[in-house]
Amino acid sequence: MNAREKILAKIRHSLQRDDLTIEQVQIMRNRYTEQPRGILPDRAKITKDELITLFVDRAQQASAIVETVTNFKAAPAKIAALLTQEELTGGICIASDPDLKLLSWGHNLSVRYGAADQNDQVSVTKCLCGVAETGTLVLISSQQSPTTLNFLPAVHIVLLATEDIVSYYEDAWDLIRAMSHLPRTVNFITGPSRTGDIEQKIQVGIHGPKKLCILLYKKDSIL
Amino acid sequence: MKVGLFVTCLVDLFRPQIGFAAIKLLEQMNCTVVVPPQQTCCGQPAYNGGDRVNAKKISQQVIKLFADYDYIVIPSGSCAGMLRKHYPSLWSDHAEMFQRANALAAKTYELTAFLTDIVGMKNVNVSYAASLTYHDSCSGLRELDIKQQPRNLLATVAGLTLRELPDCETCCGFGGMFCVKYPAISNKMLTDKIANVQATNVDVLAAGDLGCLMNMAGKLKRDNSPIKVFHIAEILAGMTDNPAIGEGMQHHATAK
Amino acid sequence: MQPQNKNFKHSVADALKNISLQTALKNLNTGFVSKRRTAIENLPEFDQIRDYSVEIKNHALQYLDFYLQEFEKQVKQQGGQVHWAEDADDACHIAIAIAHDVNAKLITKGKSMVTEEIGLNKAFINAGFNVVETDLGEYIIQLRDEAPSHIVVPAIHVLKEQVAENFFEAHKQFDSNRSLNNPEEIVSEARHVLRDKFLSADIGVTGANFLIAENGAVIIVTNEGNGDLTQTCANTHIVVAGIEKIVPTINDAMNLLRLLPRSATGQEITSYVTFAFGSRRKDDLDGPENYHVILVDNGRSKMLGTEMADMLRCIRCGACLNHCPVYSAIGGQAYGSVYPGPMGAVLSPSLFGIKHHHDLPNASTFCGRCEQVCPMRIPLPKMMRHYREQEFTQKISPLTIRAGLKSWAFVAKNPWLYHLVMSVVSIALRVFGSKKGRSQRFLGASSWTEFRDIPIPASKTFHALWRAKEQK
Repeated sequence: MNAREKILAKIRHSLQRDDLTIEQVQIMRNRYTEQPRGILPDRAKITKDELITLFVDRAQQASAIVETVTNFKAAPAKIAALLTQEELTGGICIASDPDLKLLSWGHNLSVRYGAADQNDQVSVTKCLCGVAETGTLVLISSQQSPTTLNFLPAVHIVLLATEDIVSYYEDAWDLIRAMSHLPRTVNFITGPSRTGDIEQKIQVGIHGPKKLCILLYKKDSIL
Repeated sequence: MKVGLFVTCLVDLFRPQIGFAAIKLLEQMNCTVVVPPQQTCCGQPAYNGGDRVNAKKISQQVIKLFADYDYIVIPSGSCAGMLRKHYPSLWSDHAEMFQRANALAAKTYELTAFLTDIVGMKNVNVSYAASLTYHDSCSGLRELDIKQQPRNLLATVAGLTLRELPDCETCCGFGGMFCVKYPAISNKMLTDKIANVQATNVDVLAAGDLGCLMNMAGKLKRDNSPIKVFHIAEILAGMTDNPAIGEGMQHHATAK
Repeated sequence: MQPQNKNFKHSVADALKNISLQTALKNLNTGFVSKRRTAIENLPEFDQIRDYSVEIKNHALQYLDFYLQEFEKQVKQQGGQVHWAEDADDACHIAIAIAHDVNAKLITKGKSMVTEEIGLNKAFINAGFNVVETDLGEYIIQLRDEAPSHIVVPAIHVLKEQVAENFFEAHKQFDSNRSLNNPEEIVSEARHVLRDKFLSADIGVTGANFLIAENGAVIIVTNEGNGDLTQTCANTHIVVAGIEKIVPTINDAMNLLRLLPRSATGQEITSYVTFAFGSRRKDDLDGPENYHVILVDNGRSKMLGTEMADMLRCIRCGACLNHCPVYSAIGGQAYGSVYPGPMGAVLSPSLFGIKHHHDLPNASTFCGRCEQVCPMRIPLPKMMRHYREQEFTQKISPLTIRAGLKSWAFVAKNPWLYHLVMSVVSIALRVFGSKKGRSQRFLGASSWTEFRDIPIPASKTFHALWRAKEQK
């Protein structure tokens, strides 16, 4: 018996039963299709508009910066203004989503697309959705949006359509399950990187981004 | 209403006045109080010390002795918790004893819980002009949900000012055998508790468990503190003219 | 690093004298304790979620063999490898074999209690690999060559001045006149130093907060982002996880996710919750090519079906530590185990044997706060009492204590003897004790009187007085 068999045998021995029957296995697996949810907090059982307010409130509580742009096309200008404010004059690394590539990134910004490296100070990505219950962004790793964009740069800017704000984590997972294949990584991101390891005082920007900036826009204004 | 009083071994030895105070309060509420003379200990030392065999034997004794009362009342949250919560669990694998333990548990109450929740005492009709802070003993608080009851009763003592104790729900460090097995840790917990008590600047410290009270009084007196320590029963029964815990007949000498 | 096996009483004495530790522990109470309270007040469904989560975990443990196999199947489908380790040595051997296999030089680590439990760092180092902890707290204790003192904030006992000292000592590449006076400067330096490590690591090792059976997800719940950089930048990612971390579905885990950060630090959610699904995809631009999960038993399977099974529900939030008055008095290192505090008082004897940790279940007043705050409703005092029972029957507890308990039990079982003994002791206290109503010394009571007076009874025993009254 190898270690795997031994451990499984020990488990069954402790539980005083044999391996499950095929029928029992099917019953257990049926639960995956049912996807039962547990107890969902009342705070996000609200209207779509209220969800946006809740999202913004929770995200800001978690020290994310939340700004609005009039439409998707206005994002580069807004980002350029934010970076000037932060005195970040280096380039930005952008996820290579087709609609991000279609934007005019002039404004004296030096841009490149792809995975981030240690020299990138600023990254721009989209996200799958926002979760209102805690102001959380959900990002999916892909060729277009490599995970390093979310963690290496000091400033991470995320474009989020208000139509893509959902109530619960479970809602986000419904969206992910509907995708054709599982990504390598799903990131829930809520505010910037932080640590309480120095005398329990929260310090921002230990390994991940020091600033997380969420740009909200209305979807039908992409064109 | 026939109430069997479980005096507790600590009260029996160190502070009989608490037993008499409990009787006075119960009789004030028209209970007939009986004190079975064969009672000894609830069995907590054995139980918490890991001697399950003796804990069961002692519990059997108590269950038998107190079987025929309408209620059992105890001036101690930890002993009441022992009977209410732990006796049934001691007998979970023995149907008959489990039933008897449950029957006993169902009619066992800590004193202030009984006075408030069962007989609905609205006013203790005593006066005591003093400021007081109350320590929530752990077992009473967490096993029996005793929180508001002592405060409600104390609020009816004329002239008494209640001040909430900072960290009132934090353990005082007594823990039965713990304080003599791990005296240094116990002392640290006790020192922190006493610092909180002294910060309230009260005249009196009260609680519902004599173990906690002796622990805290012992430290207050070692520190030469003028703060008087009483069991809540003594205050509610108006027995505060007698020396407080850890004070002798010369207690009214000026504080050092 | 495994804590040294110092005598508990000596460790406690050292801890009580340690001024920086005591200062740090004071902060703990006002920090995490009050933040947790606020977080829970803002989630009215907290208790319901707790109950649901307890059911989920109990179910998962009841079918642990099934769910582990489901998890394994999913991970393999995503191009990962799953290894099974019966004990700590096995787990370390597997990890070392992987490291040899990929010719690793540098290994970065995200924070993982199970890797502390199995002594992985030491095993790697002995096998010739360079290991760097990347969680700031773990990095600090690695520099100090100390054991963690808390399961969530391992360097909680270290003051910022001490961290600065350690950084000056370890980071000679920087100007020795630089300022490290405030936390921002310390954090900035740590970011800089560890950034290099992430990017040059050959292997990243992380733990797992949850393992999901339905789709093979490995979930880490972090704030720093180091776990993410550890698992994304290196070409090989090794996950080490206890087998009890299994949860059936993602939706199930979301309930536990609502409990964990609130119970641990009072946050509604941590900055990052990351779900890893195997190795780099064909068209990914980053991510590890090699993905391994090491499932560790190390005594867990033995706990199933016993009094200790409830402990397997633990989600390592640390709430019990934060609320424990004993932990707050002595800190984590005094416990002499990687798992300190109330959860450690149960888990340490469960995994490592009661003989090695016989003090831990005893060093508790059973105040019950741990059980009160445990999000997974683990009956910690009851389980500690169970170990006390084992110690009593196996004669592990000291003879004096057992003899004392047995004597008292004998007295309690014989009312006539009880009354006699109480009367005699009452007389002795009144005769030999002081007239002041308290005594600073009393024969045989030095553990008490070292720190406090003994109140002297004012009269005969209650029963003596009552008997006299009744006879009138």
